[in-house]
Amino acid sequence: MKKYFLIGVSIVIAATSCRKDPDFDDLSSDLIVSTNVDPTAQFNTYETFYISDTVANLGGTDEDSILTGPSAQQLVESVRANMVARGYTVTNIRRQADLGIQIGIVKVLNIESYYYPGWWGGYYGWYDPWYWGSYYPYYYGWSTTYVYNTGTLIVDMYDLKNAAINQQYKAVWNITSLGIIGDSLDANVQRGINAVDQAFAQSEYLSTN
Amino acid sequence: MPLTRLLPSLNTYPRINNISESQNYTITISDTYAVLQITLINTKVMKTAILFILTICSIINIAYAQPELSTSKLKTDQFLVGYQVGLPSNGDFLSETSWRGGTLDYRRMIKPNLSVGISASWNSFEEYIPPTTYQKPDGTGAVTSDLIRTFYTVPITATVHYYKPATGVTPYVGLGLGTQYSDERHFANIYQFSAESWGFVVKPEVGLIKQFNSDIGAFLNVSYNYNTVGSEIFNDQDSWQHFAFTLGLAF
Repeated sequence: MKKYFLIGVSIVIAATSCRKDPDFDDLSSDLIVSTNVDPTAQFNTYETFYISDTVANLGGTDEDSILTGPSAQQLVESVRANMVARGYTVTNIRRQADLGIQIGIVKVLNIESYYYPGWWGGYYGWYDPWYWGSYYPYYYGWSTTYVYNTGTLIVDMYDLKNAAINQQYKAVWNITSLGIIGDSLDANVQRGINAVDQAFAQSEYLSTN
Repeated sequence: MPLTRLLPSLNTYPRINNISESQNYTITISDTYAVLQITLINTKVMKTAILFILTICSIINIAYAQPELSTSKLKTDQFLVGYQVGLPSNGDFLSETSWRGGTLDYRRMIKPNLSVGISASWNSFEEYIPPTTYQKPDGTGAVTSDLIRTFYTVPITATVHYYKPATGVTPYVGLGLGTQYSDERHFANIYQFSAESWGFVVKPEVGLIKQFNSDIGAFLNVSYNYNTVGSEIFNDQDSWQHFAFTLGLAF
């Protein structure tokens, strides 16, 4: 009897082998579009925005650079168009803008590294606080841990209007789209634009109304 | 880089693996919920379950028609080993049938028609969820992604079974009470969100058993598994339910 029992147990365990790994081929490569928002931000109190027409290429060491090519322009334009569609007015004068927007792409990084968005504020290569006209520290109203992978798109929106009152450049909105750009902005710019559109679509509160 | 190459390395990231333990992560899907979650019981599951129960009931009726009813052929100590198919009934949360599962039971007859015992079973559930936007309930953002949702459940119960006297095939009803270990893992792109939990489980069942000789018999049953703990990652799923269909051997 014991023999039969043990054979039976073996058959069941072999047949079901506890659990299997899922089929990862099913997962799309259109990745994750994550948005963060400062819940205290009143988006209808802002009217104008300034957006840099370059894209920061955020690398691990001193390899950072600014992307200025046609693909970078398309990405900037997609953010600009979405903002205009929500009723905001673009301005070319940084110091008069209510909102400041920066776009960055994480270059090749070691997948094992942790990066904190707040950390980008003081990071060489990402815009320094003087970029906006005076020195205030960057502040994020949410706390975040990411493992950034190659080609992650980051869009940060700062409150410039109340910077002097707050004594800080408060980030009021953020897009983080993990790995969407991959190794090449030129090859994947449409994916980046789709991510930006999705980010706005899931953030209906972004409006002057 | 292919997902399969990256995923194993994520095991070295306690922050990612335990992402649900903290409220502080931006892609903490634990904070999120599916906007359009419908909690209707899957009609396909219900139909299958009802059909199965009706089949067993009709066999019971046939068995009743036989003379000289008895449960005396059942052994005092029974070990049951079975293959189990799991049909979740958790609405849209996870509805795909699990073909990977099994059960191990021990029963001891304490009266001619009553047994007590312990039962452990396991089912591995998995489903692909198309891209969905999950809004965080605290209003600090949203995440859009597709997912592979997996649930591995191990209910462990103390059982009591009552056997209807019959010749040949013996019908029975049973109830199991105990705990269920659940291990859920959700995969989005190269990221994994996982959590383990223990819940209280109630498991009624109906079935049939036949002893062929003093060594071996066979059994067939359907049970309904209700666990008080649902998903620790997606807080719209408060409990976990599935039907389990089992076919196996008794020693």
